[in-house]
Formats: sequence, C-alpha cells, structure tokens
Amino acid sequence: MLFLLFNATRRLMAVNKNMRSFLQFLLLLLAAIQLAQAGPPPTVDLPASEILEVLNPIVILKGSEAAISGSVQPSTPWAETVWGHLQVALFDDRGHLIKQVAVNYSPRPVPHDFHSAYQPRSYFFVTIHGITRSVRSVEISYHDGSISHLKSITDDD
Amino acid sequence: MKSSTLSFASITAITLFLLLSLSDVQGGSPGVAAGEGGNPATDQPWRRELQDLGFTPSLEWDADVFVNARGGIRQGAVADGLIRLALDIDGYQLTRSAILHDTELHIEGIYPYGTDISTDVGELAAVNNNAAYNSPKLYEVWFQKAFQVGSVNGSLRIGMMGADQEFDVNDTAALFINGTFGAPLALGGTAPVPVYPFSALGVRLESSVGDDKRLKLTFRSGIYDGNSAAPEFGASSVGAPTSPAYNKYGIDFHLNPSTGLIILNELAFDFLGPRPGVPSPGAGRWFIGPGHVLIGGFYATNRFENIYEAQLQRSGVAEALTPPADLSGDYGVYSLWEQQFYQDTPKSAGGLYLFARGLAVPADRNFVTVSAETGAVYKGVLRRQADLRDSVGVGFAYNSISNNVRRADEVARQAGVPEAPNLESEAVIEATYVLPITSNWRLQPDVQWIICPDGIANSRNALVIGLRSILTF
Repeated sequence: MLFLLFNATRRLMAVNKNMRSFLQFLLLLLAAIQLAQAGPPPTVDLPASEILEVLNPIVILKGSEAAISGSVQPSTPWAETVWGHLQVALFDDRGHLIKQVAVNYSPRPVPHDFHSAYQPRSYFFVTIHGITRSVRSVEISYHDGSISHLKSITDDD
Repeated sequence: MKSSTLSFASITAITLFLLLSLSDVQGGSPGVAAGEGGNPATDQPWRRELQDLGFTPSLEWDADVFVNARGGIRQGAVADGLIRLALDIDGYQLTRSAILHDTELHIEGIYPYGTDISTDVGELAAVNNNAAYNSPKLYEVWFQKAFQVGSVNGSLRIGMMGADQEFDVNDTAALFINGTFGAPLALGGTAPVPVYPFSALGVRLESSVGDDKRLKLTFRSGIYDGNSAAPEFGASSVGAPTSPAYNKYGIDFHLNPSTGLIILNELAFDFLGPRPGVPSPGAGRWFIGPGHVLIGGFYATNRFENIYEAQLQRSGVAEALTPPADLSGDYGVYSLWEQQFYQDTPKSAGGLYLFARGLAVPADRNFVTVSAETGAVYKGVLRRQADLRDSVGVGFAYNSISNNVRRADEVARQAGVPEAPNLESEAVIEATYVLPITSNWRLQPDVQWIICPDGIANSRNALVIGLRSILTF
C-alpha cells in the first residue's frame, strides 16, 4: 500500500503545477462524494435475553452484501442453549425491515466449563446478499427453536 | 518547495487512503446498544472460515501459582496449569446433509501439569480444581443429535463423557477454584462416577418442555460405564480402578456393563421472576429473579466394601482380619438451587446470584457422606461490559466423613493404634475475584481457608493464596 502511494506521489510530482492542483482537487472531490454516499455507520441493537447475550457484533457492509458476525454466551449461568438460534434483521432509514435471516451459533449448546472462570462462547457468522437499500440499523436477537424447524424468513417490502 | 512537496504528498496519501477504505466498507464498525460492548478488533476471519466449514476450535490455558501460607502439612508454593483444547464440528455445516441438522461432534483433550498444592495442604476437597495426573489426555469424544417431538425439545448424546459436565452442575459457582464447587466430593469419592479428570463411555438423554420465559422442565438421564474412573478415596468400589494415573492418555475405552454401571437422573426447573412493571432503563433492581432448581440422584450397580470393616482393616485392627463384606450398589440424592436477586440493568446477566447445593450418600459404604456448598457471586462489580464483566464470589463448602469410618477409627484408637485419625469433617471458605484484562485474558486472585484439612479434627487450619491466569483463543 505504502509503495503504491509513494509511486503515485512521485508520478504526480512529475507533472506540472497546474495539473498537480487539478489532480489534488479531483481526489478530494471523489473522497467527499464517497463520504456523502457512505452515510453514518449502522447501529446495532441487541435486545436483552435471559438465555443468550451477544458479544462483539461486527457488521461489514460491502455493496449489496452485509457480513455480520460475533459471539454469544449464556445470560444466566444455567441457561440451556442447545435449542435456539439468532435472528439478524436489517432496517432502513425509516425503520422498515429490509431483510431478516435466521442464523445458528456454533457450537450449540454453548460450551460450559465448571473448571474455569472463563465462560466459553459460541460464534455466529452470516452474509446477507441482495441488499437494495441503505442499512441504518441491525438487530441481532435470540429466539427459541432450531433453524431446521423454521422456514427462513426473507422480507423485502 | 520541500514543505509544499510534503504537504502535497500527505494530502494525496490521506485522500487515496480515504478512497480505498471507503470503497470497501460503507458502514464500518457498528454502533452498539447501550450497556453492551463492541470490539471490532476481535473479528477473526480464520474463525469465520472454519465455522463456515463446520469447525469451531477452542483453546484455554490456565496457569496457577498457589502458596500454602499456613497450616496443612507444610508451608510451600507450587506452580501448575491446565491446557484444554477442543474441537466442535457441526454435522450439517460440514456435510450440508439434512439428516445431520442439529448434530454436533465434540472432541476435547486436556493436559494438566505441574505440582498439586494438595501435597502441601493435605486436604480432602482439592484446593485446585484443575489438578490431576500430569499427562496429556483425551477427555471427551461425543456425538449429539438434538430433536423436537411436538412441544418436547431434546437431545441424545453418546460417547466418552464426564458425568460432572452435565449432572449436578452448579454453573453459578463455576468461578470458584476449589474442586468441591465442581463435582461434589461425595459424588466421585467412593463410587467410580466419571468426574474430572475421568470420563467414561455412556449415553445421555435430555428432554425439556415449557417456556424459557415462564417455566421450563428438563429431565436428564445418563448411563455410564461403571469402572472407568478411580474414586477419590481409593478402592472401596470392588473392581474399580484405584490409581489417579488410570487411563492417563484417555484412550482406554473401557466398557463392561456386567461389572458396573453408573446411572444418573435429574429434573431441573428453570423459571423467571415476576416482572413488576417496566423498570427504568439503566437502573439496578432487587427482585426474585430467574432461577434454577434441580433434584436428582445416582445409582452405581458396582459392589462396594462395607466401609466400617474396610476402615478397620486399613487400620490393622485384629478383628478385621477377614475380608470386608461386599454391599450391593451405591446411591445418592442431590439438589441444587441457583437464583439471581439483583440485576444491574434490566435483563442483564450482571448482578447478584446466590446458590446452594447438597448431596448425601449412605454412610455404610461411602467415605464422605455429605457434601454441601453455598455462596454468593456478583457479576459486574467494576466492569459491566458483557465480554469484560468482572466477578467476585464468596463460597462455603462442607464435607462430612462417614460415621462408620469415625466409629472404626475410634475402635482402632481404643485397640492401641496410635495413627488412627480422629476424623470428622472438612470445610472450606473461598473468596475469589475474576478480572478480565482483555476478552481473551483473565486474572483470578483467590484465597481459601481450609478448616480441618483432611477432615482430621485436630489438624491445623490452612490458608492458601493463589493466582490463576486464564488465556483463551
């Protein structure tokens, strides 16, 4: 990356001063356009649950895709986590649902270790394709039941 | 000229950097809900790729330093540790075959190492719950299938398992380091129940009905091979292994139901407390919170020595020259209660938990007949962020020695055996604090006060101070 920047800078230095200013202006303009298009980062809502709590959620939006990942651990020490899943919902600026998908965490149940103060975790990861609107918020919530017994929900209003 | 060149270069570099980064990521790292933590630095692409294939590896390294500051056998300091490596494989994710939906294969190895502080303290209930025979060992290999029949959710697990991983588990007390807060001493003391560091071939069925948000009933039943674990207090179980080094690599898959089986059954009630109105966000509250009550029992089909006669024989008393009589089977009943009484924010895992647990076994065939523990744990003392929540706990544990053993020792003393001990009971008070330094590293200072180590009435109480480091990957 640094090497490319260095080379680009050297080449720009070789052109005349007017051209250099124009290129600088052009680059700043492009950056400003990108910034305006990017908008604010989406917020992540994690509704509280007595069974699972979501840790370290990461949302990466890239074109029409959203990659959402994170980890989970039991909320109450004795929570049974063998029979549940997460639902990831994307909302637009007006709060309307764009897409909602069910995702498993793994391992399931979340491991528990009575020999350690560390509460082991399970992990989840999902990529949602075909997003046609700007994502304003992401909600990750726990639900009872296995995905194998659910019909995958995909709403696009 | 030089400064303008630098200025031009830096502006160009910054602009290009912005362009490159913005073209890849629109949203960037997320905002997070109030009270929860977000840490984009913990993103692990390699974990995502493995998980996409169905593999979830985990590694934990506990490193301890313990000092016996007073009492016990002698003062001293030791270092030890436990390395735990596990791999979970999601059957459906790996094969994409519908028949393997909700299946899991779990493989786990452990490597306990170092010197056990028990050599200095001489206690009954292990001061260090990780201590075991120093050897890398295959600990668990099991396959689980979860299923749903009507309103009943269940799972069937089969393979090599530790019974104490699922039965009579006091999850609230998991942070305590003394071993009796894990598997009760009376559970694996005389009967060869497969508790840490042992495991046994077996099968476990679990089924639950009800609503997690109101009341859920869970029934759990397991059957394990009866001679795959060495009981803590030696050879009272006829035919069971006696050495802590038994099956030291964990690859002796012993199965012989005709000489003994361990059967455990338990019924658990999970309930949530009443919700009086809508509490104001951010405010802590005292309440009768979510709770967990469990009752259960075990039965071992093995044959057991009459503990009175066996103790007389070990003392070398003349009247015990004939072999002790065998008794058929061993059994025990247990109960457990855990409940949250204070929440630092609504529905938060942070707050105050109380617990109590007890287990009783018959005195004519068991060395320790009653194990009981109680205590309190507060999560989120100084740090409330979910993955960095600290915890403090105070616990009390009590283990009572069989009246038959005491009576045999009294007879031995009267018969002029000077070394026959005056056994009664042992108790432990433990205070511990868990401080997450990062989401992958915890430090745990710990203090234990052991009253009457080894259950000997006139032994000097021991004070053990320890520090555990827990690294996870």
